[in-house]
Amino acid sequence: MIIRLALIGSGTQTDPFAIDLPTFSGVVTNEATGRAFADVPVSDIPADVVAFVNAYPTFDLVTPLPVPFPQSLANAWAEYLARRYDLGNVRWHPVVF
Amino acid sequence: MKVTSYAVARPAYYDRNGATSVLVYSATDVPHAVITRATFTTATGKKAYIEMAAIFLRQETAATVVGRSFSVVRITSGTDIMDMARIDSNSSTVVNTSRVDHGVGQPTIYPGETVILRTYDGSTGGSIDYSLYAKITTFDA
Repeated sequence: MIIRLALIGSGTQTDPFAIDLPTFSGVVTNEATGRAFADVPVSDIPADVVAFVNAYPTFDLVTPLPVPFPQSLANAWAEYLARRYDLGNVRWHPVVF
Repeated sequence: MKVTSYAVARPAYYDRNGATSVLVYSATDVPHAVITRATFTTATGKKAYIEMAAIFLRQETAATVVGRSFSVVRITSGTDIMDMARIDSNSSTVVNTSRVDHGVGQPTIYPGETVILRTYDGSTGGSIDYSLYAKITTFDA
């Protein structure tokens, strides 16, 4: 599923621009707005995040979301990934942006 | 005399809940900072094989000033880094100049290890057509 997400990183070799997810593909970025499209496995996305993405479709890397991604959903997604990958203290904190 | 064994061979890896992940980056880009285009992470209880990795670059429009450009299919294991495929050289002022690299072997990716596709172009002007691929099969450890 293609989702518009917040970019992390600074674009250097030691801190490249990236998406804060364990698995994704096909990233297209806009460093000026801090946004990127990424193809994320559906199995890595909780149903309520899918519902949010479907409710607020995005068509470019500039126009802000009409409503910010709720912190409760962000927290739930992070916990979902932590359980799914079960890699100890490794954590991801993706944000629909 | 009839001899019977109850020993059963373990199924091949691709028959142990095998699943495919394909990492792809395919686009034409102007010069840009270092960007991670795709990532795969092996979850606990799984292992994965990289069955194919390749990079194809083609100068789409000529660079005004050539610069270093690199693309990698990279494996990370803790703090260790190994490039399974890598192109690291200058861009070109000649349109359609191409650069190719293929990964060799079938490395195993253990839980917590990652496979990353990354690109960079430090040129001024011009654009490069990127095609980076990694085909990965995940299975029960």
